[in-house]
Amino acid sequence: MSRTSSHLTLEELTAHANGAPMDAAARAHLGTCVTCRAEARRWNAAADGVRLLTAGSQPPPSLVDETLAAINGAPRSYRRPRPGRPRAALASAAAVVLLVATAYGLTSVFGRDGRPVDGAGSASPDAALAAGLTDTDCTNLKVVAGTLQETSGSSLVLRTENDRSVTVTTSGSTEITQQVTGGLDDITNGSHVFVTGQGTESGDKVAARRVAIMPKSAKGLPSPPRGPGGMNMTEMMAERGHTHGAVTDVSDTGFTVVAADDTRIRVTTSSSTTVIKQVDSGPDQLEEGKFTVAVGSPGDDGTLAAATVQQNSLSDKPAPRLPRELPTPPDGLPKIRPSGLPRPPHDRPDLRPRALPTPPKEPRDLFKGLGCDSTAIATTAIFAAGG
Amino acid sequence: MNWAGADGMSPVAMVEPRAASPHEGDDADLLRRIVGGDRTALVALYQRHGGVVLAQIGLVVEDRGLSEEILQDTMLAVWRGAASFRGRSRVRSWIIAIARRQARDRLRRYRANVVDDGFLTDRPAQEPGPEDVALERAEAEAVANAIRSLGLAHREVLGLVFGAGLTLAETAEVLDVPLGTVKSRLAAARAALARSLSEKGYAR
Repeated sequence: MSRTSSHLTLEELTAHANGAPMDAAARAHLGTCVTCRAEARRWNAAADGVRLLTAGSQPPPSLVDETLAAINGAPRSYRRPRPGRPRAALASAAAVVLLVATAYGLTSVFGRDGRPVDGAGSASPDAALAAGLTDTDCTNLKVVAGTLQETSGSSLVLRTENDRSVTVTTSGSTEITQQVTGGLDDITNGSHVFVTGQGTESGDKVAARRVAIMPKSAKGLPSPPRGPGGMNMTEMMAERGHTHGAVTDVSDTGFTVVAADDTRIRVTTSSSTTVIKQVDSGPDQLEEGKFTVAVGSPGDDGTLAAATVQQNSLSDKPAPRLPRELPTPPDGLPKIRPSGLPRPPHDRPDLRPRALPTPPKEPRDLFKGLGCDSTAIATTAIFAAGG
Repeated sequence: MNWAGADGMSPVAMVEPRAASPHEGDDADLLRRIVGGDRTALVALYQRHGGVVLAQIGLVVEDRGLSEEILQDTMLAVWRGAASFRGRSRVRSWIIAIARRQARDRLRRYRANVVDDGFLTDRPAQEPGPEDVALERAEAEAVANAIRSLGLAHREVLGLVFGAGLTLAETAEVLDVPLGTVKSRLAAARAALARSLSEKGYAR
């Protein structure tokens, strides 16, 4: 069958919309066939709609417990109909996964079976990355991450880690923010924050070393994944010095974080606590040489029309970049082997999980579950790269 | 962390195609452990596929509480029936097929719709029309809203292919219809979607 004369099949078009690689002949045909390109765009649009509708749908933690109880002979419980949850609010799942995995303090060190991960072989740069662009779940959104090389009017040139220069265009509708140092005064009731510091064994307090205030548009973080057997992941994370959620009860000594699962963690602050916040910015205010992330639609000419640009003005890393793996745990975090984590709940010693969540292996895995939320994607990229 | 090129391998040598189902071997292993009565394996399976299966049930059932009950029925059925997994399909599509049967058993309305809508949905696909332009112009959110308004069979097939990421052959197996029916139903679903978006003004 000659590819030049035959259009892409429905199998090929739907697989393409699902992100499957296309063989060279099909790709070549797509490059020359206007009809197939239009078809691909339409299937991609339908696929994006479905994914937006289904992304972030997670069974409530209690459901797993009830299922296990039913297996153990408990009477089957029935769940009264409830109003659906707002799906659009299910944003930065990847950021949470990152934090949780970092909180475990082991995902970048140990594989699922407890053997050290072969870092060199466990991840692969993909074609998009080679071109300086990283894919996301959203067909039309790509990510460029790198150092801001130069600004020219409303255009930016980012130098990626693999030495590609990518031109990013911004417009009046591009959301541009900069991460800058803030003060404790910036933490107010209702802020959404990520806190890193020193936890306590009780898992209800964190002494903050760093508080990052999320941009307003990135609010609505989902619940942290539930630990096997219904363990409270928020407390497990807090024990390891991480928490995130909405701020309440601000006082001179700190504040309380209400996590998405309603667990409350008291955070204490001091004069040595660093506060990081995002402020609105413009292309002319961004600083050259700083780590910058742009999320937008790629054009045929290799440029990226940005929906969101975020810059980490604080980072003094020589070459910040998107991690292929999760960040290594911050200093002071215990590296605990999977066999010792997580603790089984007191009432269910039979549940000693063997497998932990698998860490992302490819850059695009960082953005899984974020759909087409360009702010959440950019925020995740900025946080994932550290700073 | 700093692995790029560190081992002397060229980047090209490290490029590998995205595995269609990176966890398939693990999934089968989880099912074997479930057969052996290992509850942690069921928890792991829940974590790995619960969200996708719940989303698929939710697409057709449209009631969150009921969807969760059906997911629980499904996982209990997986617990009891893990030994019957023959490895002929991916574990995910096997679970989704169970979920579909559970939903059908629970909902007479669902059964009536899915069985009887063949005459509506399985007409031969038409050529792309002017309405298809609406699909390209609408934002993902508008497309998502329009999908909600589609008929059950259309929502179901779109969910299986793009939400659960099944191949068309896997979708045919889950729906228990010929492959050709899946193709025409999928094309009909997209046409209905484009029509709905066009009516909302996106074709202009």
